[in-house]
Parts: sequence; C-alpha cells; structure tokens
Amino acid sequence: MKARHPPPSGNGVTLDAGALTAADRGDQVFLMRWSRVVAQGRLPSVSASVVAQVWRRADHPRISRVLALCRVDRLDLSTAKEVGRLLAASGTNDVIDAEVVLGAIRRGDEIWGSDPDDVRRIANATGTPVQVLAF
Amino acid sequence: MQKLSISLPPSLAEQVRETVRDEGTTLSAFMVEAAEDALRRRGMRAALKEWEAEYGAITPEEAAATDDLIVVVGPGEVEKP
Repeated sequence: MKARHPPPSGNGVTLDAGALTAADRGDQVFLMRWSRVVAQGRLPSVSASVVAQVWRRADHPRISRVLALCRVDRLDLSTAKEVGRLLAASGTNDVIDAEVVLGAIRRGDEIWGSDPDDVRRIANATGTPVQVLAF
Repeated sequence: MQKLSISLPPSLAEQVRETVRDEGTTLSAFMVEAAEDALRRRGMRAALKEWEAEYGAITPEEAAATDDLIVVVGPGEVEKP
C-alpha cells in the first residue's frame, strides 16, 4: 500500500490504550505532554475500540475526563475495509492498532501510548512516517 | 438544533464563507465544528488545572521537554524538524 495521505503535520493527537491507562494512573509524562498540546491548541482523538481495550470498571474518572474532550472515531464500513487492506499490506493482524494508525495518519496526528515497533510495521505499509510517544 | 444570530467582522465573515465554499461544507457545520473545538480547548485547559492541583504544576519548560520523547517511525524514520 502506497502513501495516500499527507505526512504528519502535528495537527492533533491520537490516543491509544497506553495513553488512556497513563491518564488513569496520573502519569507525569502524560500530564506534561497534555500541557504541551494545550499550549499548542491541539486536540485529541480516540477510537471507540481503544476505549474497549482499557475500560474494565463501572467508571474510570480520569479516563472519562479525557474522553469527554476527545473526538471519538467509530469504524465505518469504508474505513473497516481500508484497515483490512492495511493489515494485509503490513503483515500484521491487530485491527485496533491498524485503525489507530490509519486515523492518526489521516488527521496528521502524533500517536500517544502505542508501541513504536507496532506502529512502524503499519506505517511502513502506508508509506507515511508517524510520530509516537510511548509511555 | 437552535438558530442563533451572530455577528462577525467583515474580513472574518469573508474568510469563513470562502473556507465553507472551498471545503464544500455548510456555514452551520463550520460554526458547529468551530464551537465544539473551542469548547474542547477550554475543557483541556480546565482539566490541566485540575490535574496540576492534584499532582503539581507543570512548567512550560517541562512541557516542551516532552518534544524530545517523540519518536518518528516509518518510512525513512525521518528526523523531527
């Protein structure tokens, strides 16, 4: 799969599961990076599938606080097909990882809380570099 | 939906009309997105204040230092600007 999207421009941030769990525990790096993007006026997005990965109780107050400020991605049929093609092109099989990376590339976001090696395999298949903050 | 009447400076109104035209959207959709984004930015600042009250204040220098934690992965593993 060749690049079909513009390279990252730092428009916003896409939160993966690692970012939500970092928020849940009050991780200092999460707070410092949040402060950074607040100052830059950048906005967060999250996939609903990522929420399912981390949500295990009736409520997670800190995660809820973050989610209330996110644009929530919901996988539609067209994107689902593109995610499937991306899995085939990258030789990977984690649907949520591919959905997260695809969404971030479309928006030009940096990704928080993903494993850089996982993102690299998918990004290589898109032909587009991605910025990642691991926790 | 509620109808609101708003006033914009002429030059801003023209930029909005031009953007709406270029993006093939509607004035209402544009204003909804702008309002939502503005409210989210305010919410992000409010959340930061709450967290700083709980965990301690974060200096601009500490926040900027997180730029060094960002890694670029993928084609060419290009360097950050």
